[in-house]
Amino acid sequence: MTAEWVTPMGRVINDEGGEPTIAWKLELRDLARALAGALFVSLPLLFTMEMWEIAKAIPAGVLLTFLLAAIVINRGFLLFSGFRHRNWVAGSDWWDAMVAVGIGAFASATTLALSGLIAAGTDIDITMRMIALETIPTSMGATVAMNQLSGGDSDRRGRALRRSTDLTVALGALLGGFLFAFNVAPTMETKVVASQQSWPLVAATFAASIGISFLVVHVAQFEGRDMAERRILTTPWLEALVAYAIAFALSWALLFVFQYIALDDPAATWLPQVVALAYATSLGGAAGRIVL
Amino acid sequence: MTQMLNTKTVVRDRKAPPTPLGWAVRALTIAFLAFVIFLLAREALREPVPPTIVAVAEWKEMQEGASRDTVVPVRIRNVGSAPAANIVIVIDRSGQDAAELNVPLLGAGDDVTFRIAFASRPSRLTYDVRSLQSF
Repeated sequence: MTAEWVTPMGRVINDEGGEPTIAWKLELRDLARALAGALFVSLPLLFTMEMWEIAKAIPAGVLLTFLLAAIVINRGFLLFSGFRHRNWVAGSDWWDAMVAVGIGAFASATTLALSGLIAAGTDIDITMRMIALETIPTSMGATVAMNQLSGGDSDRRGRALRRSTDLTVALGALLGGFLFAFNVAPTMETKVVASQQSWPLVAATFAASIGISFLVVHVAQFEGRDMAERRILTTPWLEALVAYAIAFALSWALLFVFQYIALDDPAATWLPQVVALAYATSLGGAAGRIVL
Repeated sequence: MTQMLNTKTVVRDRKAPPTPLGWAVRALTIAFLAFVIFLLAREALREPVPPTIVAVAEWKEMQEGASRDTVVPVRIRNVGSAPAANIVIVIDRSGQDAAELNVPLLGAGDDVTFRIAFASRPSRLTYDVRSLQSF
């Protein structure tokens, strides 16, 4: 059986729970939702000076790797959400991730142009660097909106959960953490916070990050946990510790990409910054584990 | 009307593939990514040129404005292939105190324009890049 690749614009589609809708109107609605999500989630970053400056200074290879990683991360989000409840063809998640990136690029370019930050006379390399960097968070906003603004997508969630409950928890910590951390990592605030902290405060932040992550997911019991289905993360504390390790690694990577820390920095320089950012990242990771 | 609509309805739920509109978005995204990858790869492979700061008076813009205006738009541009930070550039203002300009950051190819008041309209621009930090 050959897979169908194109739906005619005028075909009427049963949008479950709703009225039958003409295909192009349904597609346009999905795109509008994604655009709204891109702007809702990322507008603060589009108006963040550090993002504009980092875009100018970040090495080309690092930006390119980061942009390609964003496509993979968007695809990760689409394991749990997306335009469609089932794949219309093998690998269609990747095609939908491309839509999110396209919507993110459009939202970024439009906002930067309206703000006067890019114009016809702006150097093309600078323009594309700014759009490319801003596309990373805006595309994630678009992907999240595909799910959240259309009321959830239990089929995809089920598909993701069938892979492995442990993997789902780790993915939730990674994706939720990434979404939260991206709103803080490019700004100077992490560095300022770290410079205000003594070592006991750094240690307290470290402990609080794990404690709050545990508290949010297990004590507050936002959602019934599925410990019986797990093989590795079989206790709440182990889950909180592993989720923190993910948050810590993610925080280090983001601070490295945004050039606040370097490979040859001593631990006394990078550790307080990573611990400060990991506070936000682990909270995002906890939210991700609840949602997923 | 409802009956007519039902006869045309294809029960596919939301697993229907994209319409041409959806494919157009995908094609534009691929074109955008290809362009970004091309620019960034070209930049990464280009022979590195250290950050070089030049200051240029925008005479043309002045001519279009008031001809006796002594406020000169001066464009500071980084013509190198690496970003420069904390740039201090001093512009000679022909008899008046020199104007010291501080630019926090200029990426490769990036520029910023200042409007500087001179005592009289200068025939040429004299400047000195005092310091800059490269990455």
